[in-house]
Amino acid sequence: MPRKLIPALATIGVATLLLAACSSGGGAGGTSKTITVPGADAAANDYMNTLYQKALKSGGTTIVAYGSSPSQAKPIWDAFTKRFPGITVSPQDQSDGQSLTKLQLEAKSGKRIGDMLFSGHSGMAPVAAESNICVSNPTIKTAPASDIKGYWDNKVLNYTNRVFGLIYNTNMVKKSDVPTSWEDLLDAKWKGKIEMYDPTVLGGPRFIFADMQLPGSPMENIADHIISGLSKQDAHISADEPSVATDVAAGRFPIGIGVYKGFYDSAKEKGSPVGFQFPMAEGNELITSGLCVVQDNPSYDASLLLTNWLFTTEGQKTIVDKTGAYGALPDAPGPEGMPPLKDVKVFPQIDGDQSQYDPYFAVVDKYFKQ
Amino acid sequence: MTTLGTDTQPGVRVSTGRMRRAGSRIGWVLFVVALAAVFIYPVLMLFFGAVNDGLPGSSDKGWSLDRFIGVWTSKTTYVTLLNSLIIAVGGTIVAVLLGALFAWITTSTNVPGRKALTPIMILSMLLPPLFYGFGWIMLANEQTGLLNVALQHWFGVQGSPFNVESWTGLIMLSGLGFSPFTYLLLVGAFQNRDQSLDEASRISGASMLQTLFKVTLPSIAPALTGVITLTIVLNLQSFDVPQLIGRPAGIFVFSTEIYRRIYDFSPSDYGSAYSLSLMILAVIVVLFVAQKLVLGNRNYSTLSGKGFRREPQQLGAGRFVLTGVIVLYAIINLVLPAGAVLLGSLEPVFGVFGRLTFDNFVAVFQSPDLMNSLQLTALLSIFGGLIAMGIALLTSYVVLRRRGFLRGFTSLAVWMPWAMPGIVLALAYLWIVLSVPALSNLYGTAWLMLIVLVIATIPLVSRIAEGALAQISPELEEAARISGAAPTRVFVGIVLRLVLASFGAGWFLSALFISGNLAVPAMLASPVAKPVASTAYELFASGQTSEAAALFLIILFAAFVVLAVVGGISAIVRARSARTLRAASLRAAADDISMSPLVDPVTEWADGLVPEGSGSRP
Repeated sequence: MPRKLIPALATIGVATLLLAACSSGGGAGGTSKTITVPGADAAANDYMNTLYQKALKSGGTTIVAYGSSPSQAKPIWDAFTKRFPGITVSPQDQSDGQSLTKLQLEAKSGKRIGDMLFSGHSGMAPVAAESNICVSNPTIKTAPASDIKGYWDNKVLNYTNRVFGLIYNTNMVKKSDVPTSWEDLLDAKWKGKIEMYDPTVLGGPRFIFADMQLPGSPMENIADHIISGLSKQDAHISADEPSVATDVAAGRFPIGIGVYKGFYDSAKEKGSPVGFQFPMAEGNELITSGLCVVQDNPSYDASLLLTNWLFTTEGQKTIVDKTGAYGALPDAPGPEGMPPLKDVKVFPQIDGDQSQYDPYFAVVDKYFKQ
Repeated sequence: MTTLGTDTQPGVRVSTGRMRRAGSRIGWVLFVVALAAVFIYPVLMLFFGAVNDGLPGSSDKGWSLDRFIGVWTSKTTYVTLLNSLIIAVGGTIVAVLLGALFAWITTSTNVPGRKALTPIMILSMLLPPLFYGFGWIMLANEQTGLLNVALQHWFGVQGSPFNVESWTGLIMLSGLGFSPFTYLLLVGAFQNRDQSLDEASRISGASMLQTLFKVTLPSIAPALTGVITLTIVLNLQSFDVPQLIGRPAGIFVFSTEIYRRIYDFSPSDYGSAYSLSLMILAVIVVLFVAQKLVLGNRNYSTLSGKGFRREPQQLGAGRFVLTGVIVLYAIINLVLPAGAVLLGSLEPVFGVFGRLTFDNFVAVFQSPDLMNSLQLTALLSIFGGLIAMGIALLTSYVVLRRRGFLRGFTSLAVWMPWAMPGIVLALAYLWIVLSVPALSNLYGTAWLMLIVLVIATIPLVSRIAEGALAQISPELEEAARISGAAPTRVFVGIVLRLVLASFGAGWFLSALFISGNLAVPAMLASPVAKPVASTAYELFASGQTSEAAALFLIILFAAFVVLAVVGGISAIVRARSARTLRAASLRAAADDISMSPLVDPVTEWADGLVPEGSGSRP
C-alpha cells in the first residue's frame, strides 16, 4: 500500500497542478466584431475599438481595480463587460494606505499587479505624489478635455461624485420623522440612536465634518455648532464604514449618518428595510472620486478602454443609474429621485495638498476624541 | 572478466569511496547553505529593514538608526509590548487552567463524559483561529451579536451584556482558542504521573481542589512550564484573533501593530515595522532562554516502579458538576462559534433575521474570484503541507541521527521560525524578494506565499516527525547501510516507510494550519494569489460578513472531507506499518535489536513539545 500510495498521491498532485495551470492560462485572442458605444462619436468609437482589439490580443483582459470600495461599483463593471465582452474588472477593496503600499511595492519589484486605482482625494493624493505609479494625461477621446477635471498633472481624473447621506430603518422611523437637516439630528430624541463611522480616523465622516467647515461651505458658520452638537448625541461608533448600513438594516440603530450611498444600495438590494435621505437642508457631501491608470500595468489597453468608456454618455449614465452617484461631466444627469446637482448645496473640498485639512481635522478631533 | 575485476576492483572501490564521500560532503554543504538561506537569512533582513527608511529592499532613502531608536524609545511601543504581554499571559492562564483541568479529568477521574474530551479538543483544534474569531464576533458583537440579540429579544434585557471586542473578550478567546493545545500537551504528563500522591493527599484531608493545586499540578511542573512558555509564545505570535477582536477595540499587539504600520499608515512606516519585529523576536528568544534556565537539568520524575497507579480518583457528586463543565466547554468552544457562522452564512445580511437563504453559497460558487481563492487554498494546503512535512522529517532525521555542528545548526535553523510570528516572517521574506533582483518576480505570486507558509509550518510539524523517528531504532538503518544501501535508499526505503502514518497525520495538520493562516497572506497575498483566509477577512472587513461565513464553511467542509479521507488512508497505512514493524521486531528480537512500539502521532507530537520530566513517556 505505501509503495502504491506515494505514486498515486504524486499523480493526483501533478494532475491538480496541470488542471490549475490549464484553467488559468491563455489570452482571449482578437474578435472581428466592432463595438459601437451609443452617444460616442466615430473617432471615439474607433479609438475604443482599437484599444479593445489590442487588449484582447495581448491577453490583458482583467483589470485589477484597487480602491476603498470598487466592489460597490460592480454594476458599472458588469455594464462595461456587457459592452466589451471578454474584458472584466476585478475589484479589490482595501484601505487607501493598503492601496498605496501595494502599488509602491509593485513598482519597486517591477511586477505590476494593480491596473487602476479608484478613490477619493485623500487616497489619491499620496499615490499621485509618487513618480512611478499613475500615468500622467492618459489619452481620453470620449469627452472634451475641457470637460474632464484632472488633478496632479492629470494623473487623477474625476469620473464621478459619490453621494454621502443618512440611512434609516423604515421599520423604526416613519418617513415623516426622518431628519432632513443637520439641525434635526441634534434633537434630543435622537440621542443614543445614531450610528456613524469613527470621525477621528480617515473615512467618510472625517471628511464630511472637515469639508463642512471649509471657507465657502454653505455650513461654514454653523459647522462648529453641528459638530459639537453631534458629539454630544452619544452616537455609536461603528467597527468599520460599511457596518453602519448593515447595523441600521439589522435594526440595531434607527439611523446612520455619513453613509456612502453604495452601502445603502447594497443593503436595499438584499431586501433590508432601509431608506436613504439626501440631500440635507444645510449642506451635503459629494466626494469627488478619481481614477488613476497605473504605469506599465498588465492590462494597460483594457484600463485605457475602461477609462474612456466611463467618460462616454453611456458610461456616465451607467454610473448615475447603477450606483446613484452624480456624474462628473457638466451635462451628466442626476440620479433618479434626487435633485439636479445645481439644486444641491454641496461642501467644497481641498484638491491640492491634503495637509491643508489638518486644522479642520483638529476641530473634529477636539469634539470627538473627548 | 573475473581477472579484470580482481585486478581493478580495489582501485575502483577507493575511487568510488572518495567520490561518494566528496559527493556526500558537497551534499551536506548545500544542505547547510539551504538551511541558512531559508531560516537564518530572513532574520538578518529584519535588521536591514529596521535601519532603512525606504521601501523594503531599497536603500533610496538611506540607512539610518532613527526609526530603530525611535521605536525602541517610543511610549507607543511599550504600550504595544504591555498589551501583548497582558493578552499572552492572560490567555495562557485561561488556556493552561482549562487544559490542565480537562487533562486531569480525562486521566485521573471517574467523571462521566470524560472520554468525549479528546475528540472535542481535536475538533476544536480543527477550527482555524480566523473562523473561531468570526464565530465569536457573530455571537458577541456589541450591536449585532446573536447572544445580545437573543437576550434583548426573548428576555427584554436592556443594552448589550456581551462585547467580545474588548480586553475581556480578547483574553478569553486567546485562552479558549489555545485550550485544546494545552490539553493535548498536558494529557501525557497527567497520564504518566504517580496518582498515589493524590490519594495520599485526599486521605490526609485535603479537598479535591486543594489536591489539584497543591499536589497534582506541582508534580507535573516541568511539563507545565514547557506548556506555559509555548502557549505564551503562540499567543505572542497570534495575528488572526487580535486583528479581528482587538483592532475594533483599539487594542494593538505586536502582530497587529506591525500590520497597521504597513497597511494603515499612509505612507507605510516599514522601518518601525521591522524594528517592532526585532523586538518581538527578542521577547520570544528571552522567553525560551528563561525557560531553559528555570528548568535546567532538574529531575521532576514522579514515576517509579513501586506504587505507580493509574486508577481514576473516585469523585463524589462533584463529578457531575465536572460533566456540566465539559458540556459547557463544548458548547462555548465548539457548538456556539460554529453554529453562529452557519447561521450567519444563511442570512442575506448578517444580523437580519427572518429569512434564511443559500444565496451566499451560490454567490461564492458563481464568483470566479472566490472560486480561484478556494482552488488556491486547496493547492497551497495540499502541496505546502506535503513539503513542510517532508522538510520537517528530513531536518528532524538530521537532528536525531547526526552529531556535532550539523545537528546543532539544523536544530537552530529549524527553531528560528518559532521566534518569528507569521507576519514577521512574511515581512522578512518581503525584503529578501525585493532586494534580490532575481527573486523580484516572486512578489505577489502564490510561490512566495507557499515558501513562507511552509517555513512557518515546519516548527509545528517537526514534533510529529521527531516523535515518529524516535520510534525507529538506528540499528535498522545501520543494518541497511552495512548491507550496502545508499543513504537515500535507507531514508526512503526504511525510515519513510515506517513513519508513513505519522507523515500523513503531519501532512494533514500542516495543510490545516496553512488553509487557516491569515498572518502570512495578510502581508503577501495579491489579487492574483489570494487564499481563503485573506478573502474571507476582506469580505468581513467590507461588511459582507454572511458571504465570508459561507466561504469559510465551504473550506471547513472540505477540510472535514479531507480529514475523513486521510483518516481512512492513515488507518490502513498504520495497520500495515504495525504489521511490518511487528515482523521487523520479531526479526530484530532474533538479532537482539531493540524496537519501540508505534505511538499515536498526535500524542507523540504533544509529548515532543514539552520538556523531559514527568511529561515524558516512561
